[in-house]
Amino acid sequence: MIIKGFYGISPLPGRCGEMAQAMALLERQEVARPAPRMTLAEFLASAGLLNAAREGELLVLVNGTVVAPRAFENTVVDEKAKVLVLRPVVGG
Amino acid sequence: MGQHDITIRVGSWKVRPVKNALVLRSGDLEISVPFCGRVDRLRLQHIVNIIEFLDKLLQEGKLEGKSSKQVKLTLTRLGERRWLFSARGSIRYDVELTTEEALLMALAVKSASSIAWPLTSIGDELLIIGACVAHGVAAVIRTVEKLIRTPSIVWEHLVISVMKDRLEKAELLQDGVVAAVLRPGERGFTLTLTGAGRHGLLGLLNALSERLGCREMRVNMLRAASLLIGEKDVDELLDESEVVWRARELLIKELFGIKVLRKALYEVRIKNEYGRWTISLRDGDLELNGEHICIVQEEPGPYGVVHLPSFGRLELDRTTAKVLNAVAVALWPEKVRDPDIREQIQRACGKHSPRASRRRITVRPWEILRLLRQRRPGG
Repeated sequence: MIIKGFYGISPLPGRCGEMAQAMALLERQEVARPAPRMTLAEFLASAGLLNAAREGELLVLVNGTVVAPRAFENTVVDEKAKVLVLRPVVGG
Repeated sequence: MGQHDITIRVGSWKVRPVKNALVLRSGDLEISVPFCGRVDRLRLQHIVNIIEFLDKLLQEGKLEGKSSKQVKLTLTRLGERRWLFSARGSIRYDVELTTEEALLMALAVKSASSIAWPLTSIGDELLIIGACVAHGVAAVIRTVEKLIRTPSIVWEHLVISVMKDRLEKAELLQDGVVAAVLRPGERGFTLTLTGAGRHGLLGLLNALSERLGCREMRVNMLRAASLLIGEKDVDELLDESEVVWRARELLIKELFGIKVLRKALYEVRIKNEYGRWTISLRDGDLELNGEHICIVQEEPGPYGVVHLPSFGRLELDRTTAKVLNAVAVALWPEKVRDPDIREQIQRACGKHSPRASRRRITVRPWEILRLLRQRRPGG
């Protein structure tokens, strides 16, 4: 079970491994660069981040706007796009 | 020790306390060891420990150790009065030293690992346990106070005093490649980017160096000392640098497309209907209307990735990710789903203005139940 949102994730025992695995994908060196007519979903998938982002485990911003998982397919990221994929903070 | 003019003899060494330093002499060797307090508070056992350590080093001619940041430090005798001090790991350098300098560096490295807590030997711990058994809690408090008041070696000064004359350059490595070079200068140390940094703060500065107009930056002497003996990594050192604060501000402007008000050298402000948010560019701390909002960028990394058209892809360090997260929280508080953060925002918002407090962030009952269940052991 996991409490999730755009930011604020509380992984419970048993899900920590999956979480770490999802985040480890961020480390991949061969992350694709945005290309003409590439959708955000394609961009995230090429970086191995799509599933984690879809489950709300990552905060995704394109050109200063938070993109909700349902809009990944409709958002186009080209070479000029400014993309931020962030592991959210939790409350202390 | 109560008198300044007493000279103590320990083995072949003569020990003379001079205000905040101990002057140690043996044959033609003489070194002065600075302490962070008057040395007349030192226990005799402490001095004996130092002498035993130096004697062992002179006898064996070699000292090896690993710092808290996994830097391997080696001190080796090359000849009669020549020693080699080497660092291997995230920092790499070799320095030739005299015997006096070698002894001072050895003491610095030994002391650096015990700066946080003065219990440096098993003897100290036994002293506390003994006091507890014999005299109860009050005696323990007195013993701990006595140990805490014991002055410790100012190891940063030792490192700087030796390195500023001897070190030519220290290379900072990332994935086996030199990402920056640290050099001593007349006024302090200088860090120069090589352009090879790909992640962490070196990567960030490397990517933004042209926009920031900066490939070199001055480094505080004491922080340079911590870096040189592997007690801090380069990210910890750079977190305090103004260039890094400017780089983070630039990232905020680029990624969020907003103008931020610079409150102080290391703080930016965002104003909206919730009130006034203050974000520290130094550590990512967040305040709303003067109330601290506690947010944590959980370890381990990676923490995030940025793609900017002019800079390409950047992997973020923990603090920069926290700063960007803090900006996201300030810009879109209503989208925060973490109940702890929402509660804190609610409190800080309510104190600011009644109008703002009407814009309530509701924590749903099932979220509270989930949180409670999660916090219950075995839940």
